[in-house]
Amino acid sequence: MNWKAPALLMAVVLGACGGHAVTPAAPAAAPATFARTKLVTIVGNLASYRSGRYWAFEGSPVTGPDAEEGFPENWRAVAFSPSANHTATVIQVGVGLVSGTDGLVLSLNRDDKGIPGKAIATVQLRNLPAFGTCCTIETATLAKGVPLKAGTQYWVVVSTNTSELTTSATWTFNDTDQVDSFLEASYCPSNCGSGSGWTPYQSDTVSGSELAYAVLGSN
Amino acid sequence: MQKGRAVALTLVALIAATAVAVAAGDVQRVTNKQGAFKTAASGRHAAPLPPNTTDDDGLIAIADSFSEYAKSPYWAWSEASVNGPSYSGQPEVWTAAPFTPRADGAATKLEVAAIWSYGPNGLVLSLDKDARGVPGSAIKAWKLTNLPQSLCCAVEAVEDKAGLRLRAGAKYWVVLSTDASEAGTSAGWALSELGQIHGATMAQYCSDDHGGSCTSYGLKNDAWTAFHSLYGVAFAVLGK
Repeated sequence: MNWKAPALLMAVVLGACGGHAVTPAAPAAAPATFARTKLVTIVGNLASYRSGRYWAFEGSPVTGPDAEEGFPENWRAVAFSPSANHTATVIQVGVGLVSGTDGLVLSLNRDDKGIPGKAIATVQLRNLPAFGTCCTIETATLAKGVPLKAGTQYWVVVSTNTSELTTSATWTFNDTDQVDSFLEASYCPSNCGSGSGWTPYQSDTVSGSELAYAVLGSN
Repeated sequence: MQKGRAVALTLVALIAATAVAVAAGDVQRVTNKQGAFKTAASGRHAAPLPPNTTDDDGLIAIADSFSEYAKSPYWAWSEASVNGPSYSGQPEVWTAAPFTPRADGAATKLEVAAIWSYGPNGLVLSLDKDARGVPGSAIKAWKLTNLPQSLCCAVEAVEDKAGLRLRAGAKYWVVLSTDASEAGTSAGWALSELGQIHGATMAQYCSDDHGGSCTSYGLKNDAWTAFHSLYGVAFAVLGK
């Protein structure tokens, strides 16, 4: 077998992050077919091969408050820090629908003392693939692009809104790096056993594999 | 991270004609309805360990289901079971993966993602002929010892310098099994990250003579059962 490291963290720059209007992107066919050649991968862990862009059969739950009786609302986030200044124009995640309302909210958030803070850009995801099918990538195009500063921590967040109370979904794990540990966070409003709100954790304490995502853009 | 989620979600979905179930918690998982698989506990990491990779230079990949990523050559968090007959009341289970060479050749090296869990640390790796769609007689067998317990990313390799002749279009099987000295062994064969769209064919031998139930896994007793799975196992057959 031939081994290589995944392409991670590349470009990035541009000033402060502002609140930009975002246009929802239609979910990509499996796999995404947008013109990626014009984009740089700012950060990400998606694999290059079609039949395994991520591990489609395991992931962390993202649920609305009424998804299952006794099952709390639960959102997930993954942190990243660009190695250079960039403008983010596309966010990709590997998510699948388990049951309930077919929709999720994908956002790019500022950091707030180590947990997700204010959303810089928000996109509504619909027509999610069924969890356990490979390998549709949900792709959100940011209308204006979001400036990201080198060395600043940001979060990619998958959550639900008031129209997605019954949504039960899964954010799948990446299959390019099971060795390193990454910062993630779980949001739970109450009755979660370890407090409420956002709780940061290292990915290897859950699965050993970071949630599947990528942030693309320009230098 | 929240803890203590005890509620089980259930989902029955048809995916490539395979029913799956999802159990909730901090990790949600889709499992193949047929066959003996197990999941690994977290916290068994080790540094990437790709042994013998330099020896791969110059060899042809006759079959290869490893990914190209050094830190994730296979999916280590779920495994196909390979258990001896005396392991904890479970049935004896062996696992096999088929391959069909496109051209005549000779296999000089086999690589598998074998992970040890409990009991005697050893397995038998063999290259078998096909017998009507399931593993047949062994062409050659090797003893594996000192298997890693870490989840990722060691690869076990064996060699036959002369080369084992393979015919184009003929089906062969790479088999992980136990022998008499490994009656209490519990091990696993980590899954391939490739081919998730269409899944893979695999086979498992099951015997519940000493405990457990083969039918609970959808497997025949005291026989090989070939089936289509959502995922295959990670292996490579290299040669010339």
